[in-house]
Amino acid sequence: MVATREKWETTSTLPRGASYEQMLEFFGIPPSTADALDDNISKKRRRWNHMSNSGNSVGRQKAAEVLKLIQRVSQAVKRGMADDQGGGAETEIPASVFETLEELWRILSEYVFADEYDEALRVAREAVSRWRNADAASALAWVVTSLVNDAGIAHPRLVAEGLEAAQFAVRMQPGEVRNWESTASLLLASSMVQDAVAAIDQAERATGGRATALLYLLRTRAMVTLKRADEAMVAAVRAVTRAEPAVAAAIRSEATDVLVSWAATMLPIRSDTDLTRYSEMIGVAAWCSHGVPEAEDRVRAYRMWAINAGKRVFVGSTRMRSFLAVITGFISLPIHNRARSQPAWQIFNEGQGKEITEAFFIVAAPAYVQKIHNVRLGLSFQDQ
Amino acid sequence: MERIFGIDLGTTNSVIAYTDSTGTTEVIAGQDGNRIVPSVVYFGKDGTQLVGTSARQRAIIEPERVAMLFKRGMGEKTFLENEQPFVVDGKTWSPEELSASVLKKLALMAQDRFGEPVRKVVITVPAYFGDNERAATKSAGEIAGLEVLHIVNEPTAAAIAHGLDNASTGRILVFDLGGGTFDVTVMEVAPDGSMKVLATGGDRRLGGMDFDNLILDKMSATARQSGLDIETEPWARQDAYDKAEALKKELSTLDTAAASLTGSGRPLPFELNRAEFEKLIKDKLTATEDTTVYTLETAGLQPSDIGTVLMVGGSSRIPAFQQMLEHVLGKQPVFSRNLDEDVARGAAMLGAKEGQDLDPRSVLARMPKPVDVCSHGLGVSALNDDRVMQNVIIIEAQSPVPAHGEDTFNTVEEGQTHVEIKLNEGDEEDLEFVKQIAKGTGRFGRAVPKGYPIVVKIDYTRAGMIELNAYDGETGAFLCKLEVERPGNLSSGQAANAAEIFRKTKVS
Repeated sequence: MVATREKWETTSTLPRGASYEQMLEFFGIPPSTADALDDNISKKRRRWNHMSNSGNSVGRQKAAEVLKLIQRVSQAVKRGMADDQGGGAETEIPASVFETLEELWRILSEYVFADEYDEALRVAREAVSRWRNADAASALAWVVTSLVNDAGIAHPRLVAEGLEAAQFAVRMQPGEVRNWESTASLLLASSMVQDAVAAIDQAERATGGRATALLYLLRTRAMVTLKRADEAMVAAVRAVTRAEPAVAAAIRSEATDVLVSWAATMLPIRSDTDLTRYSEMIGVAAWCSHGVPEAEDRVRAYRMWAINAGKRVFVGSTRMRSFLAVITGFISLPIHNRARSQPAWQIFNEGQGKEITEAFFIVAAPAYVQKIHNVRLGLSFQDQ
Repeated sequence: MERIFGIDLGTTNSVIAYTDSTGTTEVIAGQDGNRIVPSVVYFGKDGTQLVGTSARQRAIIEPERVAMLFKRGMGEKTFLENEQPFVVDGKTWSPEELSASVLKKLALMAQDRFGEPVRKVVITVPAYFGDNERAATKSAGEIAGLEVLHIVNEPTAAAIAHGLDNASTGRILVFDLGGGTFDVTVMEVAPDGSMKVLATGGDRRLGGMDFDNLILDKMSATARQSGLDIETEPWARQDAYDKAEALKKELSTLDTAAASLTGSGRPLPFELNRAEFEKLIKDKLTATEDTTVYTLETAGLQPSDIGTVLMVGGSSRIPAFQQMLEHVLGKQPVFSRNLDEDVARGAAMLGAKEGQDLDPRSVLARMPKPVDVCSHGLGVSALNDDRVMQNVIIIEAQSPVPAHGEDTFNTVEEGQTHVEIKLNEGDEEDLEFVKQIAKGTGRFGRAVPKGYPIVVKIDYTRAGMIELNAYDGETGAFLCKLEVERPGNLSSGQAANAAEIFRKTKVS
């Protein structure tokens, strides 16, 4: 076995974010230069195609997911390129026929729900060039927003095109909630977080308090980015309480994910203040996840650690404790226990030292504790 | 001298062959004249089993009593996509037992031909099969009442059959695209005919049946547009599936093929051209290209280093795969003499060599026996410098059997009294991509300091046994032993039980 594989081929299983640069980074650029994009996409695909045949079913499943992601991200990276660089939509499918707004939305919905975003974009752009009105702009903004939110990735030029359409639609139809949703989503995708928050506040006023669960979910994400924990938690709760029954489970799941992802960045806990903030965040995430099994499952290990991390465990010598207890008529027992105990988070941080090996195995060694800390380090795929 | 037969136990089709002492090989036909037996088993209500073409025909009428594609689940509990067990009349059938039915049918064909029962066989498996899949294949043979002398890699068998016809030497890339599995092997053939596998790759869920399913999906979509549903009943789906397979075969030689679909009580013409078909299988084509290039890279070779590109397996007839190989490797692939039978022929030739009664003047007699190799690496779990657990490979994949490897590890904590040892099969460092096949605990009998050495030795014996021994690195004291005798799905007892039940089952 003499082939040399580059580290980025295997270690990066998710782009760090949705920006163009982060997508390129997913394909090893840098250290490679941009002209190596096609080669690197093939290398990464080949590597994970190989991994998808490993003897471990967990690994096979993970590799299959990464392969799908490689396809999606490579399409997204190329979508922003000129046609002759492979960025053009396929032209073999005949143009869809639409004369009315209803027909346009029907066609767009079909394409988007089938993940055929290139076709949806082509039709929406055609609508914009034919109609030149707010309805068409709204449709285009929605397609781009779906691409960003559902596929999770998009090129900056495309996001800018969608944002321009969304802002035009908002100006023309300020009472239409969907236009605000698109605007806020695309502002967030453009890293214009303060503007996104302002748009959401404006949406609340312009729509007469009809801001949707999705808008509050976007606000949650914005607040997480701005590191405003209290407001993030409030927005998450509002998103859940405003969710229509048809989307309630999805909103709960998404709100849980946003809060849990943030809570994961607070690990490892290094002080009682950290513990309080972490426990609050996980408490709200657990509330959001209620009734949605996969979301409840996602938060479970974090919640267990929130409960256990503050518990104090005796780390001293049990022989010494017994000796002191006997000679002091057991008066020293509570004092000694208190003095020679540590909270679980501290035991975890100090690792398996000589004195606290037993305590470490009790509170910090269980698989779930290791797992949630590994997630923070980017070592586990399943929980990301 | 007792005859030894070669069997290609395929995902979709199986073949049995015999090589006589002069080195002449015969592929054995059944009473119906067919030399290729579909790997399909039908369970009759009277307890009998039908194997082959007749079983496949029954799939249209009673699909719930028919098992196919079970090789994809070899070594696992089930072969069904939904991971449910395959149950007929309350009995669960494992992939090994189903494979045993096919083996028994093949053995009966050979018995009819030579007038004596078949006892000893050589069976082929895909090169990327791990030890548990190989052990399961061996179990299948034992259940069918056969003595499995060797489990041989399919590409090796194909290369032997091809090599004896063409005397190819140098580096060969064998591209084996069968009905249900895909396999790429890069090997080196020495002038004396000995073969060394340099790298293997493959996809256990890629083959002709996947292409049939893609055509079937297109058929269904076309039918739906005309208000027809061709998948209302399982039998209707099976009928459409057979037509999809026929279309695929026609498109290997014709530009356009047509079939008449039946649904909702009326016929519907369906036409597919080669360009449309190639568009349907584009992702699969890319996957095979990726695997081919990756395997070549793993062997540390450039396309120009490959002397012969040999195509094997029925699905290699699809022109798109030939064009892809020509494009990637820069040379025209050659085909084995008979795409569907050469693997069994190669296995039969190896069987003849086992028999030792070959005419010393034959080419086959002069050819060295192929060396068994470990299909995958063997290693143990250990913490790396970043304190992340990973697989440390001790015996590399493709090492000749018997293989031995050892490495020294160190304790990571002060006062450690024991170490947990996990034996893994696989070639990756990431534990998610290797299979843990055994674990145990080694005790020092005292607390040892951090960094204390532990020596781990792994042996892979000629009998297929994997043995791990761990020793105290300072005193040499024995710490722990792990043995993996039969890593397959069935234990020895279960296999013996199944064989006893099977002996009483009528297979035809």
